[in-house]
Amino acid sequence: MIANGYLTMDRKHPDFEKVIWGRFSNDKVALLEGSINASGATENLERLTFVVKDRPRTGLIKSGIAALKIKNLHWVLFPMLLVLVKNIIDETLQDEILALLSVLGAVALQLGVEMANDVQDYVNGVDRIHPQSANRALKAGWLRPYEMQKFSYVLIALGCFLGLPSVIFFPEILLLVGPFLLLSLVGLKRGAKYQIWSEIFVFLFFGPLLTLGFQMSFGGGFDLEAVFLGVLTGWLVWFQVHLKNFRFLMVNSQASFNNSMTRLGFEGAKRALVYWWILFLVLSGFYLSVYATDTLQFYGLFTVEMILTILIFGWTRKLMSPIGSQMQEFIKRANLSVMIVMGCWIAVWLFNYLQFQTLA
Amino acid sequence: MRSIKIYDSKDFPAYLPKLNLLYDELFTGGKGFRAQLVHLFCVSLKAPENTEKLLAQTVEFIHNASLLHDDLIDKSAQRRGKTAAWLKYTPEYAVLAGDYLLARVMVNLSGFGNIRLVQYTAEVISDLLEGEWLQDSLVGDADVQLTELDRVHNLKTASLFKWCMRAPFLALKNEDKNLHHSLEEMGTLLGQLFQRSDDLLDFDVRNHEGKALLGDLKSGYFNSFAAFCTQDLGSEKRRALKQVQTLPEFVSALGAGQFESRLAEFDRMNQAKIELYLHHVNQIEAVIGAELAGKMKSLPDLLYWRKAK
Repeated sequence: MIANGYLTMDRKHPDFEKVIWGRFSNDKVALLEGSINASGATENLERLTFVVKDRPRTGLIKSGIAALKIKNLHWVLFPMLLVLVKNIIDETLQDEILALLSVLGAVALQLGVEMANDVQDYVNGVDRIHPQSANRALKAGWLRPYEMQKFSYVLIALGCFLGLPSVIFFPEILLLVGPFLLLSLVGLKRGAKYQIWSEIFVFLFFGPLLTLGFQMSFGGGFDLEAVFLGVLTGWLVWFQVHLKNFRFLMVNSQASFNNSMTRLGFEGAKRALVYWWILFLVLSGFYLSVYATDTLQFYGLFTVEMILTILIFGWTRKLMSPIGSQMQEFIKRANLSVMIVMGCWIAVWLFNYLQFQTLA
Repeated sequence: MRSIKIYDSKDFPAYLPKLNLLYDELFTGGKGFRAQLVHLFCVSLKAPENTEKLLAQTVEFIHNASLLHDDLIDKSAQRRGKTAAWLKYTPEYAVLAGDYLLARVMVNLSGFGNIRLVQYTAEVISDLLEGEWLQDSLVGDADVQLTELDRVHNLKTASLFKWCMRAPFLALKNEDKNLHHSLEEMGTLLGQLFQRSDDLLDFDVRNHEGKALLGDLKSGYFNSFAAFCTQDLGSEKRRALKQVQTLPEFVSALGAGQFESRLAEFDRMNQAKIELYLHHVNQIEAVIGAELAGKMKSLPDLLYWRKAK
């Protein structure tokens, strides 16, 4: 019987797995204690300290909502909207129900994978040095890791189930997405999150694979424009991943976590973020020049992106330290820039949709 | 705690009189707390006297080197009630004197022949310098968060506390991972508590030494308590608080009763850190012995609550 209070355990301890997964007691929880000791993280993640306390009683709905990470849902919804409107205008949308199911499936999959990722971060001890990023429901003890893992499996299974009709009608989707999904789940399980190649997976998943998957399940078949849209959306998502890694550059470097930002260092990362955005501007300019039917839309979107590029360049030049309010402000503004770009694209796409409806 | 002679005239070259004079002044008047912490561990571990002397000297040399550099960076006019070295001997001499102390540390430690100890000491010096560097970037930042300050203080202040606890074990070739993990956590917490308590002195809280008030704020630096007090305030109010010159002004700008309630909350938060620290001491009690564990457990009273022994 483990008493309330602090508890420190080595991974080799026979009860460690029970404690970390929350299986050691029915009415107690062991919450991972954060530490600002990030250096030598490999050693630090081998021995963890918990606060054992009585399990807080919270309703399932409240716990479930707290466990869902909805702040990244735009990573799925934004490309979905672009591809959906494109297919409506191209008159290639075959079956609305099938389309709806695939959208819901993608959302459930994303929520499930994010949740599984949160569980892995907790169990691997990453939350010990990144307590601010820990899942709310886990941090509060409303859900135990093993419960949340089950919850994530349910969501992933639901996502697969909802996507099943699309796969039956368009089996090429499975060939396209299947291997990558499998690889990423294996990678996640093995704690390969802090590897540079995992960033490429993020790009592919929220980029070309996602837009192509939607394109096919909407009935449009393989389409180069959908791939291009995916490159653009994936590029923006990757930018946001870089921003998150940039924000925690100091801690991640101390912990020897490997990602593009830690590799480049503070000044290199600043430059990379600007180049990233400039490349987005170029890619978007190219896409618009090929596919935009309206010159005003082309110049409108391009001008907004150009202004944001100049602003981002200015903000990075002013940024002098990896910590402090200037950094927080930069991250906030850069993320807002992504949202503004997405908002503008959505506005243009909706305008096109309305125009199409009027003409039809 | 007995007093430890940190160095003698043979430690520094006799043909550099100005350097010796600078060190004589610098090393006089300090509490030598870090050396005493090393002493506690060395006695308990029955470390040979020359090992204890080397370790005590090492930590005081590093600490005083950091003070020489720190005073220059902060432009502090006084150190231990005397004119700061950079003002009295020029900034160039102060930098050289600090560098020389760090060089002596490496000479002395490498002569001891324990490569792991040399490596760890070099890591701690790097941490100190990183902390100094980062702290400078936070001067004038009225929106800095407590967690960020904690990270800087972990490098700048806590690293030497960790060293005091781990170095005696490393010197005796005890590299047990679990032990060092607990010592590392203890050092972090103790350093954090010491820094936070030191920051409270600025606001005349448990300021038995009569330290000058609002020193940090007047130099544009939001210390841990200032950041904690103002964390829920808007940016404008925070900036206004940065301008205050006296403690009553600060208290009144914060709002009636706010200062006391924030202080109580700050103390509660740090009491939780003390409990975590005590948990880690309990973890290693079997290794360090009940007597040393007892002394370690009393340290938060001294370092955070500033209770006189």
